[in-house]
Amino acid sequence: MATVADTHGAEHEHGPAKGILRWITTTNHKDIGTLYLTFAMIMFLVGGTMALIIRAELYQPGLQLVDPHFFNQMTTLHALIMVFGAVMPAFAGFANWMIPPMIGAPDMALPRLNNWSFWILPFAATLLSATLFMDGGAVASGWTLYPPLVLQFGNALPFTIFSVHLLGISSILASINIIVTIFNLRAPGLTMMKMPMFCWTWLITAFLLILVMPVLAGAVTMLLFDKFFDTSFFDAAGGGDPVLFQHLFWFFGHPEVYIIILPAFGIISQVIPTFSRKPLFGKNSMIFATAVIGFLSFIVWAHHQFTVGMPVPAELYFMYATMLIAVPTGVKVFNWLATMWKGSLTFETPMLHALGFLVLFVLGGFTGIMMSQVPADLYYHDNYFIVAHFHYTLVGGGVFGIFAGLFYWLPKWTGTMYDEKLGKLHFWLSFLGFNLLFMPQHFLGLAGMPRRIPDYAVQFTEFNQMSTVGAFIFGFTQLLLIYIVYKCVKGEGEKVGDEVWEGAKSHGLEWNLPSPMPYHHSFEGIDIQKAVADE
Amino acid sequence: MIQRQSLGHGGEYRLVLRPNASLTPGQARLLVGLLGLMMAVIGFGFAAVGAWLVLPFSGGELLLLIYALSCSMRWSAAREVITIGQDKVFIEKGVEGEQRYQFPRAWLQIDWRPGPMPHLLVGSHGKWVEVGTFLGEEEKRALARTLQQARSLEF
Repeated sequence: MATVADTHGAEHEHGPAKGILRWITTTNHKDIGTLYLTFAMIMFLVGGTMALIIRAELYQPGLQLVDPHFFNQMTTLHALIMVFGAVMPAFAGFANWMIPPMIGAPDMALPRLNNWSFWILPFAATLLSATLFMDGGAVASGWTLYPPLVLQFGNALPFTIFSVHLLGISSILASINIIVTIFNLRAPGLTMMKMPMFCWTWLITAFLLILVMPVLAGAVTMLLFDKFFDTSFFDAAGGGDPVLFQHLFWFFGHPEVYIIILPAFGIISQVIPTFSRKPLFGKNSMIFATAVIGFLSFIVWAHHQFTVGMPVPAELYFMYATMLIAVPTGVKVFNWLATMWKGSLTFETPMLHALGFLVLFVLGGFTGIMMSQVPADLYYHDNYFIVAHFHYTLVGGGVFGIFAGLFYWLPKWTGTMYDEKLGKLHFWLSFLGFNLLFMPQHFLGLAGMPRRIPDYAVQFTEFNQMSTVGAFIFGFTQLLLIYIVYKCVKGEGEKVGDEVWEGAKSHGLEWNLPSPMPYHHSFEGIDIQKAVADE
Repeated sequence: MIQRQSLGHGGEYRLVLRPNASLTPGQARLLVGLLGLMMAVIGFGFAAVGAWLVLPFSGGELLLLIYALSCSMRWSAAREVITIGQDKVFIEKGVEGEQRYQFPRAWLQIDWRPGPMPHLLVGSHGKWVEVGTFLGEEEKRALARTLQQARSLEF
C-alpha cells in the first residue's frame, strides 16, 4: 500500500490565506488553476469585444464605426489576446487543477515557479493591451507580425515584442513545471501508459511548447534588432530575407495550433468515456496518435506559405506531409466514435460540448485538408475561407473543449452541480451562434472576400450580416457562462458527492477525492495503488 | 513510502522513508539529453540559415529545465532513516542524513497529533523529532504502530 502526501510541511495545515494576498502569494495548484481560468475568462471577454468590434464594422460594406488602421489593430490584438491570453492560459488552468489529482501528486512539482508563471501573465497582457493607447496605436500587422510591414509601426512594436516574450516565458515555465510534475510525481503504480489522456496530451503539448517557444522568441528578437540595432535579418536591402521570418514564425505557429488543440483532445478523451459509460476505445493508439500529431506538427509549417514562391518539390513535400496529419487525427476521431458505439450515452452539458467539439473540429479538419492542396490553397490563401477554417479548429475545437472541461470538472472543484438547464442553453446558443458566425465565412472566402479588410464589395453583404449576428449571439452567450459559473462557485445548486458522474471513478483518480477537493493533502487516506488498479 | 530492511544481527532493522519520486536520475538524464538534442537540431538548423538568435533562447530554456528537474529530484532524494537497534533508536533525516538523533529504545515515546495532516513525533526526555513528514496518513499510522511495537518488543 502506498499513499502520497504533501511534502510542504506543517505550516500548510491551515486552509487558504485570507484576502488578496492569498491570490498573490499562493503556491497551491488549485488556487493557481483558478487564477489561470479567471484570467483566461477576462481575456476571452477582452478579445471577444475586439471580435465584436470587427464584426460590427463588417455588418455593412463601407466604413461605419472604426477607421481601417484601428480595424487592423483589432484583428492583431484579438488574435494575440485570444491565443496567448485566453485559450493557452485556460488550458494551463485545467492543467493546474487536474494534473496533480489525476497522477496522485499533492501539488505541482515546482509550486513557486507555478506562481511566477501565472503572475507574469497579467503584466504581459496589460502591456500588450496598453499599446492601443500609444502614439500610432497598437501593432496592426496581424498576429503573424510579418516584416517589413511590422517594422513600420512606432512605439508599440518594442512593447508588443516584450509582451510576447513575457507571454512566452509564462508558457515555458508552466510547461517545464508540467513536464517535471508528470515525470517525477506520478503515484506509485501509475505507469506512463496508465496515465489519463488529459495528462498525456498536456505532456506532449508541454514538449511542443518548450521546443517552439525559443524559435518565436528568437524571431521577434531579430525583429527588434532589425528595428533598433540596424541588423538585416529580414531586410533584403541588407542581405537578409523577409521570408526567413515567415519560416521562423510558422515553425512556431503551426505547432502552436496543436498546443491549443491537444489539451482539448485530452479533455474530450476524459468526457466521452464518462458519458458513454465505457472505457476509452484504443487508449494506447490514442497516445501514439497524439505523439505522431505532435511530431508531424514540426514538419509541415510551410503549408502556411504556399504563395511565397517555394520550389515545387518543397510545395509537394509540405502538401503530402500536411495531408498525413489526417491519419493520426482520424485515429482519434474514430476512437472517440468507437467509445460511444453501443455505450449507455447520456447528454449532459459536458457531453454536448464534447459532441459539439467533434462536429466542429472535424469540419475544421476537412477544410484543412482542402487547404493542404497547393493549387487550391493558392486561391484560399488570405481570404475568409482560412478565417472560417482556423476558427472551426481553434474555437470549435479548442474553446468547445474548454467548455466541455469546465462543465465536466466544475462540480468537482466547487462541490456544487451547475444549473443543467442553463448549461444546455449555453451550449445550444454557443453552438448555433458559432455556426452562424463562421459557416458563412467559408462561402465569403470561396466567393473571393479577402481577410483583414474593414470594407468589402456589396455582394458579400448578406453572409457578413449573418456572420455578425452569429458573433453577437456567440459573444453574449458567454455572459450566461459567467453567470452559470458564478452560481456554482457561490454554492447555489445541488451538492455533489465524490463521484460526480455515474461511474466516473473508473475514468480517473480525481473522482476518488471529496467534492470540493481539499485545499491541501489531496490524497490523504486514499490508497492510490488500489485506485489506479481499479481504473 | 516505507522500506523495511533487516540488518541481519540480533533482529535489528531499519525503516527507510522516502517521498514519492517516479523519475530515476538515469531517466532524467535521458529526458534532458533527448530534449537537448531536439533543441540543438532546431536551434543549429535555424542558425545555419542565419537565424542564430534562436540558439541562446533554446540554451537558456534547456538550462532552466535542467535546474527545475534537479530541484525536484533533490527534494525527492530526501530520506528519513529510522534504525531500531538493540538499545537505541537512531533517526537520520535529509539527503545525506544531515540531521541525526538518537533515543534510548526503552524510553521512546510516540506522539500522534491529529489534524488535516496528522503529525507523528518520536522522542524521549523532552526531546522530540517529527518523522514520516512525506508519508500519507495511512502509512504514517502504520509507521506509528511499527514504532510502538519496536518499543514494547524484546529482540
